[in-house]
Amino acid sequence: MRYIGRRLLHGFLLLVGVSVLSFVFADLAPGDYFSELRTNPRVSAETVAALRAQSGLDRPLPVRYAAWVASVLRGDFGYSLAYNSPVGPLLWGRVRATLLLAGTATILAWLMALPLGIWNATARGKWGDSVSKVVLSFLLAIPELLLAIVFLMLAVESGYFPAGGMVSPGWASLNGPERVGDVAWHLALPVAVLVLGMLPTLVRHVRASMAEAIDSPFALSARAQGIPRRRLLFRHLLPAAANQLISLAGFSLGTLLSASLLIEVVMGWPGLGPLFLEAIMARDFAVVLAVVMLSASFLVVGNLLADILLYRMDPRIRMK
Amino acid sequence: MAVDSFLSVQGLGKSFAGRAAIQDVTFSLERGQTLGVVGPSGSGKSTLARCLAFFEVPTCGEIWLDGRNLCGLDRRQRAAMRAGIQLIFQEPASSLNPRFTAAQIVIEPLLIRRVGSGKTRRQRASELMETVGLARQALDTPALEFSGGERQRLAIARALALEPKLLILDESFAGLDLSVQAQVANLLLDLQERRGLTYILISHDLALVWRLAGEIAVMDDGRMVEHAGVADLLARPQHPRTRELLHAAQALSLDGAPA
Amino acid sequence: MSRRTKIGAALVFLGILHGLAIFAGFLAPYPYAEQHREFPYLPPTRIHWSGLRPFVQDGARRYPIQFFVHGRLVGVEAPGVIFLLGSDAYGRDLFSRLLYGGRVSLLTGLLAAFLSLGLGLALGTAAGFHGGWLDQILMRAGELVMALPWLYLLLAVRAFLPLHITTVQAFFLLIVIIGGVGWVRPARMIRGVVLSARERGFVLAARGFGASDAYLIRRHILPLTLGVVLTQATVLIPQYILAEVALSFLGLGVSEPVPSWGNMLAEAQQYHALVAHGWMLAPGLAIIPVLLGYLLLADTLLESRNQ
Repeated sequence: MRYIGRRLLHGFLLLVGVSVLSFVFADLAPGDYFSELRTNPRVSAETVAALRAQSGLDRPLPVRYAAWVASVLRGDFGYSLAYNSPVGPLLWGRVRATLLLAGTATILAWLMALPLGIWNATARGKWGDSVSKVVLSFLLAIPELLLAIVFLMLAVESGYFPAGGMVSPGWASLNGPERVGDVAWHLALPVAVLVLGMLPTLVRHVRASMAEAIDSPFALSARAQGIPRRRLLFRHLLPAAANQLISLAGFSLGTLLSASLLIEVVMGWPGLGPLFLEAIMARDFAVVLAVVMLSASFLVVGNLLADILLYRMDPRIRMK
Repeated sequence: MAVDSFLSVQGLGKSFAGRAAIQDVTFSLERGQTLGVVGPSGSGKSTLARCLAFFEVPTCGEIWLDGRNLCGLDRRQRAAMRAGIQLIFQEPASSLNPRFTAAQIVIEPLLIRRVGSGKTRRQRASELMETVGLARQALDTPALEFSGGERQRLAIARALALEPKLLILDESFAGLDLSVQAQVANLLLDLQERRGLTYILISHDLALVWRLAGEIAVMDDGRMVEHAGVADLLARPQHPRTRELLHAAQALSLDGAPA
Repeated sequence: MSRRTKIGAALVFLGILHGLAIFAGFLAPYPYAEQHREFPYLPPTRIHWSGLRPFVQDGARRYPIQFFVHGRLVGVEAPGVIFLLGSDAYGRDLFSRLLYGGRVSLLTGLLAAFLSLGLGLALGTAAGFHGGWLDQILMRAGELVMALPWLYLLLAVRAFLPLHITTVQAFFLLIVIIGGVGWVRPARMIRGVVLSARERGFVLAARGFGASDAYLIRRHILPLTLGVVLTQATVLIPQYILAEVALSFLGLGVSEPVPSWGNMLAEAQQYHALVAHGWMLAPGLAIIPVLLGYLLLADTLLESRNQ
């Protein structure tokens, strides 16, 4: 319990650090939301200054930071100048969309990677393993950006899949199962790209961890004792490999979120990615800051979960 | 106890985080003699060695070498004195950089202290190799291709590069097989005779020590509990720890205790 | 295939690819900005042979392919065109832009990796060798940098810099950003090597002879980091190439008219046109052999280090 408490505190402090740094950087950034206006000759400098003062952009840094923290605690997460609304409401829909995409992709990817990796590990050196290795290496070399564009092109051309968005127009009038189906239909291509991007690395690691477990002395003696294969796999080998695999999951979270950002933008999935990009282009720093904090929070929470899982599963960590 | 002995240690102590690894160590050693330091693990033998070789700064006490007080020297003076005392480590494998050639290893001290030029250093390397009985042709062989005993010789050659007066050997024979131990021991005795070197030999192997040393000091729990000539120690051990060690050595030794 | 052969083959392969890009100025038939508005979305030009002489055809007219003309390897006389991979919406030669774009993307990846590794080496060595407060500060700083997913981090840093910059500024900016945030993993690995190297017997022995810290680092410790640096390089370079592509694609990197594989892919997003003009995807396809080469190199190096 103390371990978890310490990790929580550590994560919290990390987030505080990120928020302070981001605030300072945003402050140092040349220009702000109103900079574009200044280039417009019809808008006078006084107007811009007045606009700045109105949005509180001219207050000193610590004051603004404190105001921001208060805003976070209220659930507003600052104020978006581009959308003219608190940032909070803008985020939640997007967060759900991103989590839906990333989560579905993760589950599917692991569902595919585990059997494939285990099969490869047990049949090492045989043709299945070799073919697998070659195909996956090739897949690894294909940039997800390219995949996303090609898939979208096929969707537009064939009409079998939607060319963007999370729901079809008129979604509200559909009933329950139809709604889920519609979202799934929209989710299909983005998830496919993400899964194809994650698969090579996952399979590689599953294969390596399982191979290590299979070769370990305790597994050899278990086999010698005649323990049936299925029991051996689930009761002995997987738990042994789980340690490394959970670490891998935590480790690859950052890559997953980054990939999902790019794919959301390309394929028009309404997640955090497009919002982030928009805010950067508009220099709407409140939104930028909020997304930065959110993505950092995802990583912190994800790693914390992985740490907790490892802690429960691996008695050696508890001894430290 | 006179300060005009070659090496004189008085009240030496070293503590780590409040715990005393050695305390109140006092002894003296004449030039050209060999002092064996024995004792169980954790008795402070290695700490003593490291203090003497400047690897640790003693918490208290004084060390006099050849009439000069080693404590209270500034950095440069200490660096100069370091040349006079050399430590040979336990693991010849790890104290030599495996990627270095024999030549590079042996002249490293000269390089560090900027002694001589490339040519003279190479010459010196040849001489040192010969001194320890290694072939000159092996000068450009990487260290990892040498055997354990040969590596220990390399370590000794390196230690001799700066012409030290005192050599401290910290468990330098551990891990070498018996015949190799004998060869290295003979080399050391030979060098001592020819160059008047003084040795402090630290070992848990009492049988080895009583063959090479003229005096033996026994360490127990950080203190030096007995210090006498070999013959005296063997015939009339005073301290219980000494008697323990002697019993253990005699029980294990194949040739029986010397008279 | 022995390991050395594999490494050699991969290096040669990568050398050729990078060479093609570096010598874009010579190998490309056209400058990257030259437009031929009368030939938008032209498919790849077919090359015909009359005996041993190649030529291109436009209607009835034949234009022989000339070599070493205008300082370039290949060319045809106007109004003939030789678009080996077709043309884009503005009638610009895709093959030429592919080469020039490759120069930008590959060079950015290489230089950024160089920066990251240099920083990682310096900081990792300082942290590992010195220990104490310096180590703590650097490790905490590393944690802060790693707190964000890498693309979010890159975009955030990019966000805090001016939006409208010249191409040259963009190029250097990308290198500094991508390389500047990527020091953490190499630094941690090098720190690990330095920490264990610091305690090795031969380091202590050299210290015993009065060696300075600088000597120990230079002579004994740094050579031990070489393995880690090389494997990290093979991993980082492709990642950074992809980073440049992503940033330029999103409009936050190198922009018109200078091509990068990223901004060229952004142009390819005219989906209705894309089906009919698949060659617009060439920049994306070109990345594949580059990544394969680095992958082979990385795998082989990893194998030999695990020995």
